[in-house]
Order: sequence, then C-alpha cells, then structure tokens
Amino acid sequence: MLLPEREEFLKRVLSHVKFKYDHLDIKRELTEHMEDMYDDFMSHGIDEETATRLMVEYMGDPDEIGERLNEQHSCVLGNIWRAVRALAVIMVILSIIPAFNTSLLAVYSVFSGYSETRDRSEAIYDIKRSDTVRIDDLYFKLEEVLYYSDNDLEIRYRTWYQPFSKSVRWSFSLPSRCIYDNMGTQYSDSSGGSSAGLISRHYLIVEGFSPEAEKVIINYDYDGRKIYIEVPLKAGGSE
Amino acid sequence: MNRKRQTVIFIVIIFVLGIWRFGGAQQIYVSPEKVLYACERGLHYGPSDKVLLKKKIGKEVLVIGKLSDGLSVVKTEKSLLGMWRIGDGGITGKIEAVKDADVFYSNTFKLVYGYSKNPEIKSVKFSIEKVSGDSRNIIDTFECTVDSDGFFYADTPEYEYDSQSQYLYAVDLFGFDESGNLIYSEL
Repeated sequence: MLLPEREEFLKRVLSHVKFKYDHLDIKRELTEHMEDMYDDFMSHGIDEETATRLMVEYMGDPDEIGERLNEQHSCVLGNIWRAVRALAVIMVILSIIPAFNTSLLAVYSVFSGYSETRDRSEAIYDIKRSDTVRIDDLYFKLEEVLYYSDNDLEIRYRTWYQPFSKSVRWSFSLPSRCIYDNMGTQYSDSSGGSSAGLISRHYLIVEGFSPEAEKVIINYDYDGRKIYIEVPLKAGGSE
Repeated sequence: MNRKRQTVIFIVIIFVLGIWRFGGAQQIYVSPEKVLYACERGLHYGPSDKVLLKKKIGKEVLVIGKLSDGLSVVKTEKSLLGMWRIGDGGITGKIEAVKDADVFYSNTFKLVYGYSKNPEIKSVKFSIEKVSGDSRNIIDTFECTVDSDGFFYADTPEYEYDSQSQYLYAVDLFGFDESGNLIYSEL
C-alpha cells in the first residue's frame, strides 16, 4: 500500500527529526501503525478515500509528532550511542583472538599434568604436598617430592599469578641453591623445566641428594621474598 | 532497551575489554615508571625507593630506580594509546651493588650511569673503552658529580663503531672526595 497522503504525512514528521540514523525505524513504526488503522477502517466498510483521510486525521498533527520524536531521538545521545557501539564492536573484535588464545592456553595449563621427564617407576617413594606461599603477586604451590633409586630428588611445584595482577608475568623457577637437607647440605647440581600457561608446572631434579637425609628444605630468600618449606622424607626408602 | 542503557552497557564493555586487552593482562602500563614497578614485582625485587632517571630516545625510555642495595634498570617503550610496555630486547633488571662503586654504559640510550655506596665519594671519573678483538682503546672520558642517592650519570655522544665486532664499555672508574682526593679506584 503506497498512499501519497501517508507518505506526505511521514515526510513532514521526519523533517523534524534531526537524527537521520533513526528515520528508517520511525518510518517503519508509523507506517505499521497507519496501516493497522487503515485496515481497521476498511474492515468496518469505510471506503478507501475516507479510510485514508481518517487515518491521517487520527494520527494527529505531523509537526507536533515530529517535534516530540525529535526530543525522544536526541541527536547528541544518538551520536554518542553510535560511537560507543562502534568502539565496543572494535574492542570485541580486537579481543576475540587474544581471548581465544588465552582461554585455550589457560584451559590447557589447568588440566595438563607435569611432563614426565623421568620414569616414575624408578621412584623409591613420592610424597604429596600442598604448601602454598605467595611472593608478590605470584603463588607458589609445592605439590610433590619424588626420590629416585639413583639419589635424584625431584621437586614438583606449580606457580600462577593472582588474577588482575599488574606485575610483569615473568616465569618463576626455584634456583637449586635454595635446596637443603636437614644436615645443612646445600645442593647445586640440578636440572629442571617449566610449562607455560596460566598455571605453570615446574620440576626441579636435584642430583645426588643424600639418602640419609630426613628432610628436604626449600629455603628461597631473595630481596625480602621468602619461601620456606620443610618436607619430611621417607629416609632410606623403607616405606 | 532504551538508548541510554545501551550506551552505558557499551561503555562498560569498552572499559572491561580495554582493561583486559591493554591493561595488566597484556602487560601494558600507563607510564614508564609503572613498567619499572611492574617488572620489579614480576622479578621479585624492590620496589625502588625512587626513580633516579628517565632517559628518552625516540619511543623508548630507560628508567632507573634506586634500590636499597643497587639499581633497577628497565627499558620501556611507547605502546598503543599512550600506554607503555617493556622495551624490545629484554631488561637489565636489578643491578646489585656488589662493588663500592660501578659504572655502566648503554649504547641504545647514549648514557653512562653508575652508583657509589661510599658516601665520601662526591665525584667520579671514568672512560669509555672500545674493544675490538685484543685491541682496547679509550675513546672518551667523563667526570660526574655523585648525587645524594649515590647515583651519577652522563649523556654520551653517538660513538662510531661496528656493532658486530666491536664493543663499548664504561671502564676505569675513579672516585674522589669533596676535596678532590682520589679515594676509590677500580684499577
């Protein structure tokens, strides 16, 4: 239905609305409303010409409607809305790939295990631990100590940064020089490795750890940051 | 949903994603000093008592902080939207004051800087040495006053050298007291 009277009415209404971005929506809404009225008149047996005239009359003064709609569809708010919407879309697009990568790495790091650098069957014993220490924004959690038949001692721990930490997230690894036994021996021969991700899993293998030792002591002390954990061992591997 | 509410929601989305994308999660900070402090927390030392020097070359800024037992040296660079991040090529980090006084040279920032733990040392003298294989040549010499923090620095000119085969070092540090008497020598 394309009525010149209706189109003229709509044109006059829209001439008052400065925010042109909304013209299409306003036109669609008013058209639907006018068509409903027109159909209603026609269903009551009113002829087309009268129905058209009544439809326009019932809508009211197009200038008054246009001015009211101009207030509702503020040009200033409308432009701000468009700008922030566009910026929000850009931000979402810019964030999708990093978010996907971060999420994938995060999920992997949470559910992956320690890399098995040594055959666990060679371990005389293993001790499960759950000691958590915080240094700056970093959490350190000792999880397991394994002792092998060739006197290697493996320390397994995980580290992660607290959410929204503003620190630069360097990886943290225990230096072997902070590993002692209860007899005061400091161990320096070691090897180790770490996994990346939201949660990093680390292993430190200390070579030649005394089978007579009753405790392994982790004593990290650097620039006022301390990790001190004593782990009783099953000396001699009898258990 | 009305337009005002949508605008607020979009602003919240921009803010949250902005923080995530350009904030701590992406290791980007509002100033070179913030990068210094963030590095210190991440490397588990410090924080610096104060920033002793910021030296800018192009889009990079070297920030030197004062530690109770040395210096904290972090290279930063300008990122998006006026933010800052760690400069390419890694950072020096903590320089522990092992000696009574020491001097360092940064070719990137055309800067020599150092510290003195001895409060009697009021001025220093040192040289820039060009090393090429077995050949060593002094190419420049500086004299600086040491400030109340035990810190000293000097800007250097651009030295011509072949970065593939030649190296520049700050060497031969001498410390003098208020009267100009030599009280420290690393020779």
